[in-house]
Amino acid sequence: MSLKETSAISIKEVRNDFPVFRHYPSLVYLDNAATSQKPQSVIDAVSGFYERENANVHRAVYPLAEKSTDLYESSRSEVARFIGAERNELVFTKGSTESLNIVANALATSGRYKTFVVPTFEHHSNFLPWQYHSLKNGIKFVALPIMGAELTVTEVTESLKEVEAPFVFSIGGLINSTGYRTPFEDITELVHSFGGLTVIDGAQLVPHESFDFKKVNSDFLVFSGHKMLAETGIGCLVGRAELLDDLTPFVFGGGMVDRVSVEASSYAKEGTSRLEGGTQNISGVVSLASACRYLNKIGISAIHEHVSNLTETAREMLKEIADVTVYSPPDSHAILLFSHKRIHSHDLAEFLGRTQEVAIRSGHHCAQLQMKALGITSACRASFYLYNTVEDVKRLIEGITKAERWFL
Amino acid sequence: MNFEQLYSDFIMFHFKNNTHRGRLEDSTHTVEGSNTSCGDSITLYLTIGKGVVNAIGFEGEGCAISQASAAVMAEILEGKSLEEAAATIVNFEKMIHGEEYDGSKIGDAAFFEGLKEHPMRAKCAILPWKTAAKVLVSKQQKKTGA
Repeated sequence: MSLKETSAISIKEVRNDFPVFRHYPSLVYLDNAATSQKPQSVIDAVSGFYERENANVHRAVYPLAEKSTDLYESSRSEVARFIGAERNELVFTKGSTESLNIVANALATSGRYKTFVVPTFEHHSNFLPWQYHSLKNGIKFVALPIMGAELTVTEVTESLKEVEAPFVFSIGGLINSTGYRTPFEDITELVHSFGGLTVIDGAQLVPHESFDFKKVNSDFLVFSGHKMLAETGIGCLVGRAELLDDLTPFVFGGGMVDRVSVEASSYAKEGTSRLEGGTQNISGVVSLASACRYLNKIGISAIHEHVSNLTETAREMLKEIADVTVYSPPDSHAILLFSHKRIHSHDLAEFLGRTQEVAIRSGHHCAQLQMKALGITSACRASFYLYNTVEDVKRLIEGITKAERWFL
Repeated sequence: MNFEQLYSDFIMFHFKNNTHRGRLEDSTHTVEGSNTSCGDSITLYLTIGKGVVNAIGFEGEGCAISQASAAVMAEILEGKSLEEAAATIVNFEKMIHGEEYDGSKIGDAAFFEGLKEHPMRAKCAILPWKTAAKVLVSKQQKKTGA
């Protein structure tokens, strides 16, 4: 087959922006679904913050504190713009998992919802919070079964006919184990027509695809910074303002309180700070805004095209290896789940990592129900991002061929 | 530790040789174990009589390291008294966790020692031993180091 060399982005310049490739020139990093590498501009933004702007936010009146508060809040505006939301719709959290826990806990204890619905291809972060909080609060929990790795709008329609409203439907945009790109826009519309709320888990989607919160018309969106070039420990919970104002806080403490007394205290009635109790990860917020600027500079649609070319090239080349099975459905992006019939996923990943400098993931990818639906217990996952090249794909394929020679 | 050290000839020999693989029809105990971090699972069949572990067979899915570890464990524990078997398992667990252990009583299982530097893979090696411990090691023995 012919290899499609991408022209969507200037790959040499992009790679120069990422210091990790200077330190490890022959590293082939294909574990982007776990976490991305960081560009120099993000690293500089973080160290610049600590050198020139570090003070706690929303508390003190001296100029340095004003500077850090300005930076924190202007970062909120920048990140909100990145996903087409308003600044009063975006709450900073530790990441997608914490965001989902905040929403699941608050909606479960609100007493308004009869059912929580989650497809079984979700990773544990978008499954366990809904399961736990529904069982704890006497809410019906529906785990939508899947055939293989996909879910059609028709299947969802049929299932929703049986679901008691009002309900909450939480679904990933891009599934972390297989890269399946779900029809979450149509599902959002459908869920609303059945009287439900939607939560979109954008942990894998937002790094790869332009997202417009208003246009999608979802009720909530969650995503993580570290999968889109920012630091770990920072992420977002995005929600329509009136819904956010209605959520019971998960963390009580400084910054979210109105009046404190020994008998009972009152809390801020509205605003994002209600849900940001305690000192936040300020440098993480700075890094996320910086990452959004970098992604905008390269262009999300250019990144999408580049990654799409790599995914398709890798898919075709993997399929040419007789003993390899690719589980990712045709409508998948950035992530390929595959296994070798005669080499266990751990053995293959260990061989690639230690002898070929090719970093992929092996195991169940925190998605045991998805593995079960595919009839496997573990598999290998290669995931691509803007700095990967066709040469990286070739190294992966050559590595698998070498592993066959070694193990078989 | 490089790849060749991790996947030593000894480990690959036991992985490829398929010794002790399969269900034992006359087993007195069947026990299952799984590695929650990777999804691998193992079923052990043990034939125990008169205070002695007479035979061990295993089935399950796993990487070369976990499969080799199961075969080597079966080889070592067969013929041992229940007390000796329990002590051997506890000794192996100490070795893999990087704790002080009795090197004179570890036998061929010493080939797995290097895995203590690789916590993710140490879990693969310890899976069969942890599973056997459910039958052979009492809580008290675990506590006191048998």
